[in-house]
Amino acid sequence: MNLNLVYKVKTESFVIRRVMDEMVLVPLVNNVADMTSVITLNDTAASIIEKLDGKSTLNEIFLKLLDTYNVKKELLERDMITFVADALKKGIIKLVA
Amino acid sequence: MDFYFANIRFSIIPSANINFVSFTSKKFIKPLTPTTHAFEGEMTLMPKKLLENFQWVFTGKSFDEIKLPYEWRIHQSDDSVAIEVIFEEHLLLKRSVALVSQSQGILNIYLEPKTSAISPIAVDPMEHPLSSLLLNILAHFSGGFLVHASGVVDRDKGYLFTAVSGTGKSTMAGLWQESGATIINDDRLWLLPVNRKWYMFNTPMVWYAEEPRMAPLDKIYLLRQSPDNQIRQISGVNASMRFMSNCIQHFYNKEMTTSHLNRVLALTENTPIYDLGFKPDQEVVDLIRNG
Repeated sequence: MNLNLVYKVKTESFVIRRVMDEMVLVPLVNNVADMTSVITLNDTAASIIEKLDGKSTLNEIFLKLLDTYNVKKELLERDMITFVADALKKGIIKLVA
Repeated sequence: MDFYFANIRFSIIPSANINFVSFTSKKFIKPLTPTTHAFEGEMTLMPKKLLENFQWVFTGKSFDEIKLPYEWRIHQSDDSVAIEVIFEEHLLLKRSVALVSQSQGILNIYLEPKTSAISPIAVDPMEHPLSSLLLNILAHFSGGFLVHASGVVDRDKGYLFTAVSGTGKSTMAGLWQESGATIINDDRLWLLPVNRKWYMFNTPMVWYAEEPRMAPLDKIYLLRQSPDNQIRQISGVNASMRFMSNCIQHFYNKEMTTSHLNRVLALTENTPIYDLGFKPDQEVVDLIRNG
């Protein structure tokens, strides 16, 4: 995955709520809530979602997360790439640049 | 005629060609909690082009187990929502529509009788299935929501048992009744915060006329069938979402979905939730009572 890419959360397609160290995403299909496909995220995934603001590159986000979490560089990079690919596949985020 | 559902008052007058036969809703005529939202309207024959200025936003079908097949649609205009039910095999009606304006406090019900129906037609003002769909919208306007659950009150403690159909909501309520508790309802509850405390209310049901009842909501149990009783407190968003999956939720815009999610989280973050595997006998009642 190219870490210079910029992604953005599709806020128009989800109702998103942070709850303590977790996050809930309720998908909206033509504005109608799809309660059968609710997504829940852990703290790390929620932090990535919050940072996908359509301005920061993946690499910038990676460096910020590396500052926040006490985690090995390789592990964080692998987890982040997996999550971003998954989020893209599930339609949670879109490529901006 | 005035009905009271949780904190909502609904005053409805039948037009000349309609007779009320109030059945399942006939006892919901006294408030259990102060009214904070009021709706007034008329039950009347459906004018032509009623939904001309509405946009069709949502469609659903009746569940298989219900013997009356129908399709329902939600339509929206600038300040109103219309719930339309299209019957396949109703004795009297082709269609019924509830038109609700929250900002104006208006709730009109329109009926389109079959040509074979003899005037005046006799209907329940809260006839199923229109009332089930309407109650969902009213519960949302009230600041609460509906959930597929049974609820009981035992020694001043209110317990809610939720699950998908056939997992034991009514069985569980029955066990509590045998043990001296009062059932609020064994299938559907209207949950609402009153003075910052969550309460459960029953609603008019399809097949029977109940007295209106309310009770505090102290603990939530997510039911599953099990060879023996297992009880485990769970928390976090997964617990909240397991509960939410049993809510009745036909939300047709982002604002509604957001406030519904906020309410579910407000309740579930402050109410203990348990995963409960149970076998249907008295032991499970004792387990919860002593827990």
